Amino acid sequence: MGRVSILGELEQMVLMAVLRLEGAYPVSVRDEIKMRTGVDLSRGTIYVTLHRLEQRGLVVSVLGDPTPERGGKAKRCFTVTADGRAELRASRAALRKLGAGLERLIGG
Amino acid sequence: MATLMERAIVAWLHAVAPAGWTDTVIGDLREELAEGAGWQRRRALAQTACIAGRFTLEALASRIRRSPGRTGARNMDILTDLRQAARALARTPGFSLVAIVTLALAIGANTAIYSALSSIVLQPLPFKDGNRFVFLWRLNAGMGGVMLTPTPAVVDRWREATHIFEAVESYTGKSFVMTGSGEPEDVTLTFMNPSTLRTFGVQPVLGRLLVEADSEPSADPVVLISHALWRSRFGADAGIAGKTLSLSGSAYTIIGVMPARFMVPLGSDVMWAAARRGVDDRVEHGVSAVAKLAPGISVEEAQTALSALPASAAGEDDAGWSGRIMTPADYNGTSVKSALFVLSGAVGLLLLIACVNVANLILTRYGARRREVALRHALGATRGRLVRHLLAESALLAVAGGATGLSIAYAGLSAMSALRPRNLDMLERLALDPAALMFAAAATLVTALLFGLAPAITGSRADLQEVLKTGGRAATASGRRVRGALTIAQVALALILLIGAGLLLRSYGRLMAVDPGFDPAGVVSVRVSLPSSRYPAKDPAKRRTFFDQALASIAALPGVTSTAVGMGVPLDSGIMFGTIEIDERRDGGKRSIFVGGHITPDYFSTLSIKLIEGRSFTGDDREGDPVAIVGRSFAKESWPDGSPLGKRLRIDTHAPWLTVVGVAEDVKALSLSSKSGDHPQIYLPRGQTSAGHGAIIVRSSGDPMAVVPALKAKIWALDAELPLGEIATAEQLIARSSSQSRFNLALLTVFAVCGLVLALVGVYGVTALFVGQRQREVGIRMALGATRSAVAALVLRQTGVLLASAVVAGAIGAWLLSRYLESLVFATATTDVATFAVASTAIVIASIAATLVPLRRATSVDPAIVLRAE
Repeated sequence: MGRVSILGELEQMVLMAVLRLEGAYPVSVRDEIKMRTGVDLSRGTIYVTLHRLEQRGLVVSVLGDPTPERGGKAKRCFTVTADGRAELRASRAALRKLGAGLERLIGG
Repeated sequence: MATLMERAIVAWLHAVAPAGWTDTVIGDLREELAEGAGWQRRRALAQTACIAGRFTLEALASRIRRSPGRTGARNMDILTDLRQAARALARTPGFSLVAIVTLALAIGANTAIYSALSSIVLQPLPFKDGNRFVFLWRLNAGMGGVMLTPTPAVVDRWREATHIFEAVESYTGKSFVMTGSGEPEDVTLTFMNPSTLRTFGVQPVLGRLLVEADSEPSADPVVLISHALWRSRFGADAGIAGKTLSLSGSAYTIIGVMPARFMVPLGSDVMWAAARRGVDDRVEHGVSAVAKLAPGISVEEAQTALSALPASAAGEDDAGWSGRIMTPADYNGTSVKSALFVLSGAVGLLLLIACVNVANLILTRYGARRREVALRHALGATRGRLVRHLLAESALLAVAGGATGLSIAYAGLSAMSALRPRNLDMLERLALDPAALMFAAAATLVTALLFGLAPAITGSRADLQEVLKTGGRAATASGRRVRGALTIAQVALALILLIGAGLLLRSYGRLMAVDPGFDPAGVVSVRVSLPSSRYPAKDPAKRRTFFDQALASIAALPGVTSTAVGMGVPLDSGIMFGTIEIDERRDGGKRSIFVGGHITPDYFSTLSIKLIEGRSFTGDDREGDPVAIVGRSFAKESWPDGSPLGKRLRIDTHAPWLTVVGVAEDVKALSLSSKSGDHPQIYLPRGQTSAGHGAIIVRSSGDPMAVVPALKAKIWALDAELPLGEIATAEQLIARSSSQSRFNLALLTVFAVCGLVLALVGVYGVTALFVGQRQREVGIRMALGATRSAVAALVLRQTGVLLASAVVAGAIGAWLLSRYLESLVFATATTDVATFAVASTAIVIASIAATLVPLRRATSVDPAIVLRAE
């Protein structure tokens, strides 16, 4: 049992948003989630989740170019690691298995 | 303060965010909330604090999750400390409650007042670069500082001064009658260039802004409506855009709703439209002008530069006129500003009293706990552990006090909004100022922490034997002196507040006792303005007929005893300009403001204004010889040597001479506090004017508001489309004229009562401590034959010395500060001896009352019990 850890929904959302984006950074991740799902996460939540994912080695970040409209401050751009993909895959598979056959009950 | 706070918040973020993240987070916020002054910057700051808070929570959570090892143990310690502190506080509910209430009062009151101050004086226009917007007027110093709006040609000249102004925009307001759902209503439509709204950088909450195409002569008329109107008249209909409304008979399409914060023109909150060229851009008088200062230009620099520019178009006579800059805060008048500064000074005193009180309370507790602290130290608790334990108590108190204070601040803001004086409409949309909250919270918390630490430091150093031997009661003499000094300070500060409130109360009483010159009981007035589309100025007979018929039908209503038409009830009748020339002098006259205006014959009898000499107007004063009635002071000043009856004056050098037929008693025309002779009072017969506006004044035998429905029906029976202006009783108008005084008085009284209560807590505490420490001494004295009264004298002597010092210090303080109150009081000296005496006596009596409980305890000491305890 203990081997399969299921990522939290926040973590899954953020991981998938990072995967979708080219040069994902906190602002674009938040916008992406809001645009696709309508869920408006707070900025703090995005930062904390990204940090947690980075500590677990599921994403890595590099510093991007500083631009004038950012007041000369660099961007922190994130990419999903191989581990990140694997965990996401495992979590989604686990949820899918649990949901198999329930379509009739929950619709869709 | 803002930059200090910014630095503090960034430092906080830096402390809790992962290494190297601070800059990227700030960069993200910059990118999203484009940088600028005012609320954008505040929002960015608030967001930074939120993010820092989120990281803090995350760090705490992950620490607790990964509990094994040293950090885990320390976390457990913190939890234990907090739990123990909570228990200790619950054991002394009296102390805890008083401490929390003290902190809450100080934090709440300070936050509310400083929030009001900052939204009124410091950041009046709540949008991007709001502090760079100013309004432009023309001022004539030679005519007693009369201010007029500039003409479009003048605005064009000012617009060229690009070294001062980044943009100069103008707008004009026109009255329309809105019909459709509900009663017909008078509304002001502000016509402007579509570019003006863009200059302000505001976006509508619904729909679109005005665009250039809207100002084409052939464009369909469109309006943006205010948030308030959208809610009140259209039920906040989300699909409002595209609907039409009828303004004076024309259909206008609603294109959007402006945000609630948008209030330009100041205080007006109705609707905005594009001035269509050749249709709406005809200007009869002046235009309102608003300018955005060029970056880096201060208001003072801009004023200097504007004064050097002409304030008239080429070829116009500009004698005496010059440009004048008004900031939004200037509109509130200096009286409001100085009132708020006095109030913020007063609330600052309250904060001081509260800090002293907290210090005092904690010291009292310390006296009681020295034994416990010394014992724990002796049993092996480290000093760090003791400090943490005491800090946990202070922190719990602080959090509880802060949270309660926040709710008091919110309640205070809504109370101020409800009580707001008429000239302080800005108070309607008060927002809590986070900087003010932080400041008040920080001040009280630092005090609590500082004094909270004292027992940990001295207590852990104390000689255990000594402490245990004396039973932990005996605070040192120096400790008692500190507490005595603190209490003196507290009572003195409270006395200052009390004297201030007393002065305002006395002044308010005098203001209320002023005779307005007429009898307001039972009087109600309705403002009416006949639209010139249906009542053209060329047809004065039609206008007169309307008013005659209205008066006749209203006079027939049950309960109505008398009716008249005038410019309004005194205090609300407005002012007029004219060059007043007295026949005998023939000096070309003096241009000045006057009050009074056109009235019907029954005006004086309806308002019970006394006629001193001559007669009132009659129905025959319509045509023929022009006549006038003058006020008593003006009559005396103009014709000092005899009766003015039959003498002549004129109000314009080209106008016909008016013969004085009567002299009326002076009335308070502008405000209760104005002097009677401030402005000439001149009345003219209504029959000799073609004015289409006026106030219908009705005196009834009962409640004046009871006749209002029937009164409206009678007017609408004559003209169903006629919008009615303000309907108010004379008593409401008088109350409104004194609303500023009432507001000042109410707030200062609240502060003074809070201050007094806190000071009494201090007096009680210090006396209780004194009695507690001397119990043994008292016991011995009584055993040796001292009477109860001798013991009472001992306690009272100590309180007396304390009170005497406090009263002297407080009276001197109040005397030194009294000049700041000068602009707020009416007919009262700010060093009024009676007020000083009453306030001092009150505080002495209250303080002695506060010592009664400990005094009883002292005199009921049973010597046997006390001595046995040794």
